[in-house]
Amino acid sequence: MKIIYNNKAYSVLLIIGLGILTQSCNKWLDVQPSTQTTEEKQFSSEQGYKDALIGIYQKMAQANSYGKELSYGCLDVLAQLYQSKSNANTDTYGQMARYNYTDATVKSTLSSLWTTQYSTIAQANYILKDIDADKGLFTGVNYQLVKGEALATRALLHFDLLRLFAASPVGNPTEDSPSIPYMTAFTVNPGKVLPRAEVLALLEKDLKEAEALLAVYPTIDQIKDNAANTSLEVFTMFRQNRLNVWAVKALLARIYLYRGDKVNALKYAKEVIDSQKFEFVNGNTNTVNAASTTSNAIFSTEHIFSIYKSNLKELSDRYFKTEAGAPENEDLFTTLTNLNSWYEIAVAGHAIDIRGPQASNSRWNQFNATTVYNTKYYVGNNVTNVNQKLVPVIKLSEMYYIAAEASETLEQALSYLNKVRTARLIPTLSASTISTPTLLEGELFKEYRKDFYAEGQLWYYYKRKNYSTLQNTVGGTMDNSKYVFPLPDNEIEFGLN
Amino acid sequence: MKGSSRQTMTGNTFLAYRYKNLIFKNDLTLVSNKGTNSPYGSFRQYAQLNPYWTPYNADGSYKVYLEDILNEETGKRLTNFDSYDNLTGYVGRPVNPLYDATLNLVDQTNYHSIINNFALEWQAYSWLKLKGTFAYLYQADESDRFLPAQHSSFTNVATFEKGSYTKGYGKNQRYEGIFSANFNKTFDKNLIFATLGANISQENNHTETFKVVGFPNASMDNMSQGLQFATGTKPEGTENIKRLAGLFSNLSFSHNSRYLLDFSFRLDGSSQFGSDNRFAPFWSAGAGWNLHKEHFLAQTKGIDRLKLRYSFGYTGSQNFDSFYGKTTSQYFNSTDYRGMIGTYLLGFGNNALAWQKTQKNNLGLDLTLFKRFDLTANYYIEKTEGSIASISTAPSTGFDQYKENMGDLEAKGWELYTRYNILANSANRNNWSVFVNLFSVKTKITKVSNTIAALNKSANEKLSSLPITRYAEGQSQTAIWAVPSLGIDPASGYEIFRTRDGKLTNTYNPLDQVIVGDSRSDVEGTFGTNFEYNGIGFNAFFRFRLGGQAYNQTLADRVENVNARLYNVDRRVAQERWMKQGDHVFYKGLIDADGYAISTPTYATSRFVQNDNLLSLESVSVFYRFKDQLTKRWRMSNTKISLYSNDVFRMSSIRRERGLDYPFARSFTLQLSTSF
Repeated sequence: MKIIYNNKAYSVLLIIGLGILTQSCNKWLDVQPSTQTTEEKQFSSEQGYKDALIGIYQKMAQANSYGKELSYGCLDVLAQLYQSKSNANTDTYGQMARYNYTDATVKSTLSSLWTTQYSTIAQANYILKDIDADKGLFTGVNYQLVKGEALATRALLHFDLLRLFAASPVGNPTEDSPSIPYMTAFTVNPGKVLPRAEVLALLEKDLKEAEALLAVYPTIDQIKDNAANTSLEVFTMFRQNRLNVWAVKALLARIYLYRGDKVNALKYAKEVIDSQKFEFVNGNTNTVNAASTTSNAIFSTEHIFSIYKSNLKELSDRYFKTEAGAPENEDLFTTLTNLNSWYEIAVAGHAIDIRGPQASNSRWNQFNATTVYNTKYYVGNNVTNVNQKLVPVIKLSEMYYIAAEASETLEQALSYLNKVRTARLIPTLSASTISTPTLLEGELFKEYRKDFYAEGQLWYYYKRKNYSTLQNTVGGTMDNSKYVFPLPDNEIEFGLN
Repeated sequence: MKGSSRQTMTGNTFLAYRYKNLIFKNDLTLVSNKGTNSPYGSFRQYAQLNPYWTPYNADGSYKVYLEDILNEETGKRLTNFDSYDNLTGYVGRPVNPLYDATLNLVDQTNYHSIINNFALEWQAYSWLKLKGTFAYLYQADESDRFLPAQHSSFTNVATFEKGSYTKGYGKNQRYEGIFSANFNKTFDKNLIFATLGANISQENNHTETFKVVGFPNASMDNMSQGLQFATGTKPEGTENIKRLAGLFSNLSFSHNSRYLLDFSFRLDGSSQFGSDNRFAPFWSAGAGWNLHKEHFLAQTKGIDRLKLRYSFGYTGSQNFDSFYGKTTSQYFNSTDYRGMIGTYLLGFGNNALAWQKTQKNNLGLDLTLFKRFDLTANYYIEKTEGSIASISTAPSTGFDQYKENMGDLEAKGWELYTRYNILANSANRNNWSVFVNLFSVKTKITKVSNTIAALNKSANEKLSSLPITRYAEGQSQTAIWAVPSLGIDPASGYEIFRTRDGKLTNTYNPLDQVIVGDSRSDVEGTFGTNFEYNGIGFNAFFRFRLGGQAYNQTLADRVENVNARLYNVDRRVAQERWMKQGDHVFYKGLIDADGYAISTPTYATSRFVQNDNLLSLESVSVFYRFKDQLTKRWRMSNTKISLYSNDVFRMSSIRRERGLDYPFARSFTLQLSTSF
């Protein structure tokens, strides 16, 4: 076989061949596994933005964040709600209950809390980076939803970090006291630790912007009504599990109350209450049996914002149940004596409180007199119940409490407080018995403790009010060294302080 | 560990066929492997059991739980020590690992693979040879892990979820093709070689895992006999695909066998690079001079070979995961959010991240004297531009590190390979030689990137509260950072540190870290001997290193940051830690002067930075080669029987733990080889 061999033509062909080869090679090399996506590819479509937004909620559902630590985990341990951790001084939670922030495992828990929150904030900034330029990709109200929810998430996460890692305005009245970095850009350059007043101003700015964007979609489809939903429009379903416009208003109410701005706190709390999008469960007809498909142990109709945690069963079985003959070391429970005292069982008319241990549909599992587990997080075996696997973050009752605290007159305050009490089936309070602000505050405190067991709100209340003695405590007298978490070592080492 | 095994069966056929000026070669290998893991678990579990426990009950059967302490007044079992980590996934009561080993456990993996290499050579003309090779690899993996309901990790699990079977499947495929044209021409006293070729490859793999629970009957260990998938879980899997394409070429020229010139060029592209810098070109050139062929040396007795070499070229590497160059997100695998699956960021993608390019300059000498002494020496200077380093960042950014072309590095080093033949008889195979190889290299940072320079500048302006500089010009790249320590205070049991201002303190502050050592050795190398006389032979291979330090993490993990309350600890915790005032010891206090436990962890301290010198005998073998005359009657030749052993001894100036999961095995191999 002889090849006709022409020097010039051969080399020209070779060069052209190489050129074509390089071009088609480039295309051939542009490949990616289906489980990953690059920034360029992800943000070239609306679906990519939606995926990134849903990813934020999935990150918030992790155990290091609202999935455990910021709800029924370390925050309620710090508020001394679990007798089991007051007794145990040998594990992480036991050390936390004693406010020992130098213990190695406690440090590591707080550090991963900090890291997870900021990692989620970074993802929110990732979405916000180019979303305005990509506005044309979105249909309907999706642009406002994605951008508004990303802004609202950023604010929510920063606010909770502020409440934990910085002193409260009552604990340290100095407005410029250093608090936390407020990250608004997707970057690896560390942000400066800002004074508290500046962080609060930035929070307000983000939330106001989010409110304006989300106002285009104020509909709330109740969780319980979605049980038989066959629609394919999954993105706008379950608004209570996403940061809707009412959740943004509720957050603003919280922040204003935190700052001491009662006028605005009342205004926003009223807006949420008067919207009538959320309602209290019916104390007489609500069922709580985890095995049923319609029970509602978590009171989902009251959720202004709650997180859906798809693997909640694993954690709730671990912490709120025991299969052995005795409570396990990790379990979180309290004693019947404590519950009876908190829910004022001895006082006339209070035993029927739907949140208490003697309610007809009780959400308490009494293993024995000193071991009582809460059942609100139970997930039924092989049961599809849309009201399960939820962790509440902002509830309707808190709006009423904020309104009561921010009210100008005692009568107005009591009217809000009594709405909650009636819904919980306990008798209302009259202005004659609750005649001073101190008495009102006492009642509000009792309400926070009754309503938010295993929901991580009582610690924030104690810290905001700067109470010096906590009930049932093993941690001694409170001061800023116990109320304020230390910044993680890595933050001190690599951050801008 | 008892019960663990690896069985591999390999079969290989090699076929070569020549037809006129075509050569076909095909090499097919089939491998089947089955690995079983020990039911006794890892050795680490046993190392941490407290020695005052016994695994046996009074009647001789195995205990399930190792500890049962009763409150004397109430008679109830104490539960506040139930945080023992059994390393099987169960944290709670300490469980007897021997009990779990008696159960019907299944823990195995197996894989089958086919590897086929096909090559075709065509001598088209006397000066042109065309080659093509095609390789194919296919591997199928399977893993099974069955835990019966009685296993300790299910103690606190609901009845119908006890027992689990985790099954995994994996598949890996790889195709690779290399095509080249080889050209050679001789004219007068000149010789030219040239190669031009291309390579292309694709690798894809995927895995799936399923977990089934509910096996009340311990002997039913088939996955389909489980009651249900683990609640709240679903099948999980991964998928990956990678493609490479490249172009390569070489040109060599030699004149009169004295003067040599080489040139090579490569162009590589990978699917893992961002589309901006997908292809990276590299080239190198070299020159050599065979002095021993020159007329002025050809007469000199003794100089059998004297060659001077110099080469210059560029190489590059992309030694980072692709998501560091381009921000990438991964879809969540095991959870969902109301039916939707979102993405999460894998890392911070630095769009400016480029290949690091290294310029290599090498000056070399090859010498052979009196046919006995061989020497090869190299002196090289490598300048790396845009060296890629991981930069730690504050967690408030959402990331703990990112990659950056940190700056320029310069490495200067030399290598020496020598061999001396004490005995070399060409008539028979008797020989005895010793060899010594030495290497040494020093790397320093010559320039830092603008970003790093800015960070350094702001750190220098506010000394006390800003991060310490980790990359600075003139600094070694292998420096060890720690806080300088003055030892343990005999009065308190706490460590005394020196701060950056020169003051003394007991409080650890990560900002006080300075450079306390360097992990690069001054010189390292290998040496050994090869000997054969009358068929009896002996080989030994040693490795050594001198100079440089290392951070002895074992001391931190095993002596100071221990949980003595729950686990068995190193003897030094009881004997060498500070216990009372007046103790002059090396390790910090277990309790302080008032008797309270010291629970703050030990962080990077100069106390644990130790000199790292090493001498080890890496392999030794003895053999006997049968004389061919003996074996001729059975038509066998080159028959040899050898015994060898690896990792014979290791002497190091640092006493460090090298691993606790699997016991160190001293292995000996006996090998017989022959040809027919």
